[in-house]
Amino acid sequence: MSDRILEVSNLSVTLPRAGGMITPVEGVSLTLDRGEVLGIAGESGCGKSLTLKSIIGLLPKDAVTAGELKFALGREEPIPYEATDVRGHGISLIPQEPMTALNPTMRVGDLIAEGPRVHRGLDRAAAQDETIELMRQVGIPNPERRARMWPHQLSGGLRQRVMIATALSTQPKLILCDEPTTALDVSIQDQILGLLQDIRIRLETAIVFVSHDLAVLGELCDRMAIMYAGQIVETGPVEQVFTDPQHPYTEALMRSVPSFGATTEKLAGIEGAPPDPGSFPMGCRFAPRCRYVRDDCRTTEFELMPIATGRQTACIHPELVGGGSS
Amino acid sequence: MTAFLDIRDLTVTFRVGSALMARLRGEPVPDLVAVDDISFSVPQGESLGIVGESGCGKSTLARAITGLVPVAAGSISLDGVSLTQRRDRATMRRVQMVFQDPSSSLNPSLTVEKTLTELLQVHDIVPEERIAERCAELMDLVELPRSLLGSRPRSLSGGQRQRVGIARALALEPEVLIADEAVAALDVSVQAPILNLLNQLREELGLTVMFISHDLAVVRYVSDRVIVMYLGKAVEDRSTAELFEDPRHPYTRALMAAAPKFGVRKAPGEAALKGEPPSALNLPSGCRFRPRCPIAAEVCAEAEPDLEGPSASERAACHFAWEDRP
Amino acid sequence: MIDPGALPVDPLPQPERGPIDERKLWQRFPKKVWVGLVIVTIYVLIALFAPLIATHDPLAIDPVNKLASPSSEHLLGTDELGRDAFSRVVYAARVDLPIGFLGAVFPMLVGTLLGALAGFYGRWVDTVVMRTADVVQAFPAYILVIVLVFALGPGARSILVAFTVLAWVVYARIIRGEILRVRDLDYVHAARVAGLGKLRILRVHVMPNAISQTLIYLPNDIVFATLALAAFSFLGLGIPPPTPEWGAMIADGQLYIRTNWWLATVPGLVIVVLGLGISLIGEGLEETLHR
Repeated sequence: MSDRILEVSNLSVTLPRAGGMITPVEGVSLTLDRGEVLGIAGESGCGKSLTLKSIIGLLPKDAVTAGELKFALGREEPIPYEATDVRGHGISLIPQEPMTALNPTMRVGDLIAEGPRVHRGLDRAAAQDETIELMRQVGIPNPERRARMWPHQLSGGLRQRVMIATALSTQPKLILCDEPTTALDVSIQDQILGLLQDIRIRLETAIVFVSHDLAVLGELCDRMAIMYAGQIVETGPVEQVFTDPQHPYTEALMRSVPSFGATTEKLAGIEGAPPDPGSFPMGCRFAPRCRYVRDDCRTTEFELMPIATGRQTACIHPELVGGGSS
Repeated sequence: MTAFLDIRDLTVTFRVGSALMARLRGEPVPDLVAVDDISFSVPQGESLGIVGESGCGKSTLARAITGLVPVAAGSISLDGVSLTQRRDRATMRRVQMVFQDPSSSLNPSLTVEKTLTELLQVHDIVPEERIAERCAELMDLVELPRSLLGSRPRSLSGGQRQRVGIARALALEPEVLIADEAVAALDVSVQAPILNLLNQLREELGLTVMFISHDLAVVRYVSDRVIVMYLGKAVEDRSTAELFEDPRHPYTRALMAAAPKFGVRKAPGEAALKGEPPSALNLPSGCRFRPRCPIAAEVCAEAEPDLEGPSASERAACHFAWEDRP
Repeated sequence: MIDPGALPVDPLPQPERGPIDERKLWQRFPKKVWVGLVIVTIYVLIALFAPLIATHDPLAIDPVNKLASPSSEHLLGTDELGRDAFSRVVYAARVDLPIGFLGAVFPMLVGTLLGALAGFYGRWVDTVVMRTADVVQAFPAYILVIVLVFALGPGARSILVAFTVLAWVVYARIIRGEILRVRDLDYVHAARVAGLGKLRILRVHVMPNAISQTLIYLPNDIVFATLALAAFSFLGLGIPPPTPEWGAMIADGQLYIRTNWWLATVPGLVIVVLGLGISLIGEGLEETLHR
């Protein structure tokens, strides 16, 4: 029995737009083992949400995907799958906006119970018991009373806990998190992250956590993938990526964030803007904004290359980045 | 040091139910107190950060100071001139605001030039023949290419729109600039240049700035002084350096502990601050932070602590804030 | 090792370029808008140049030649009074088009004004306008039309008054809803903070951004008004004879549906195609404005 849960190989997503086709996700490859948390970091438009949606088959109808998606449905090796096989059976999704992700016409308890009843065939009473237990586990106080409430009666933090309970109700091996704490207050975010950490340790659930907030990713993830303009540009263990980035974009991102520790160092920001998916440049897509750019950056074909165990970068001159060792 | 912007016992309330029904039932009129008896002064040229989570009243405070919401009690004065009475046009010029959401802060039907021109004309800032030139100067001030004057907001990126928002606020040559979560809706790499721009403009133009944010790290980067708000009250008022080095209020400490930091792993099930803020309509007795406070004692339920401390620039609203300082 | 030459010293951040809609005007609207526009233009031209297009005097009676079949002389034959059907269809455009159009535009003007005041000023203005709207809507429409036609006499004026009195309510609700939405957007707040007067804010900042739903609804309403006119004429409440009007022609022609089916059908088709053209414009506008 392998520990490998998910394998994404060379995933590309193509969408029609304004009379043409764009490829906002290109050549993305990921692997995930049981109990592991993989972070995908990037700014808006980099393709991280679409990548997540591809895994669970929630892309728009006119989207065309290429590449391979494999998931370990049973206890065997990961195998190719249909979205309908895994939804509710092995993969769950926690979306970004707790305000709109819950059906406003269903009571919260019914929402959570839906999964077990539909996918695991539990009867009403058993599902109800499990719902209360799940709500308790995710830290919802007074679950019996809360289960009968409507989503609009709950705060953002509680709604997100309900989402997590719903995600857990199908006993998934993999939870996909699409910026689940971005819309929450800092103190609530802190609680939710603690909850997710607890879940992954206790239940050995694998998590893919998408966020633009590097510090949040640092708290929860074991490994990170940095995305830019539809491609993964760097991967590695989270501490290494932070302390020794091997891609100029990663470094530039770190220097843009007012970190809690640093005080007077002036924030850098990044000149320019990400390229429009309709007109990606040749070679490295970050080259137009890169402070270390060389001539061959624009002509060399993009490739995510291993540079150490578990470390990859798409930069052909990683030695220039921050003075770190390659 | 005379107070330039002086806030005294300011209270702002919102009607949340039917006054008529309440009177018929003999109940108190249902008002939510969003800002509860707040007092502070801002010297000219200072950058004050107001920090807090949702529902703390910081946005309402900002809107009261700009005149967008009426004041229930207390006073706001700018250089001796009252801002709580009906403001005349000349007085309104003196306090301007930069808004959070770049997608709704600009009139979509107007070009950048028309937006700026309207303000310059209505307030007679410069003679008619100089208006176009002044618009161009404003664009230079916010580091936008003059060619964008003819663009409509939909053609601009989020960062560009935010710069236009700043230009609009500065067109009236205000003395006080209030930035209400001015960078929260922007990508990380775009936030930094905007923050730098605000810092720069503050120095160049001698502005007094109030920076509202939920993000402690951002506030630290732009502010000389910080006020922390919780449920309508100011709970701590310190210089930035002192606040971050030595927070005195338990809520401030919890907020800092909750903020994600690089290099820190999240412990499972743990959270810096548990539970949720109570409803503003149903406040706890005594200190409103008491139910969630790690050091709450009997006195906390009996008496609400005042915002006080060793000096006017070092205040905290906690019975135990200054115990070690006679 | 960092190459010092590669690091720019404190670079001036170059602002990002946003998406710019650089397409030409004619590309910005979907094709259906242009198809619809062509159709409507043809109708307008037919109405304008009716004397040149019609073959006979539409009012000229020729009882001897009544109910003739289509021929080279009478393209659509003659009706029950021997009048040339083709010419009547053509001249009817001069009645149906303006009344259909004005029958929507007048309510729009009245309704939008009242609804804008209600939405923008709120409180008692809102209450008065909206409760009046409720009362008007509660009235059975046809009763009101009958009463008005009796009071004012049949003809275009009564029809337009009737439409205006009935149809303003929808426009008022549309604009009020939009104004309530726009009123709370940050750019309106910014205008207030900048000390701009209420009327200016309404004119420059609120109305232009609240009017799109009204403009989307207007073409639909023109179709409704045209059909309503036809229906009223059919019931004898519309334009009195002998003025040619499509609805009246359908009413008159239905008696002869088995023998001279074209007398009722052609005016009907004419209405349908006009309705189609207007609807295409409306749909296309909606798609463009909602992007």
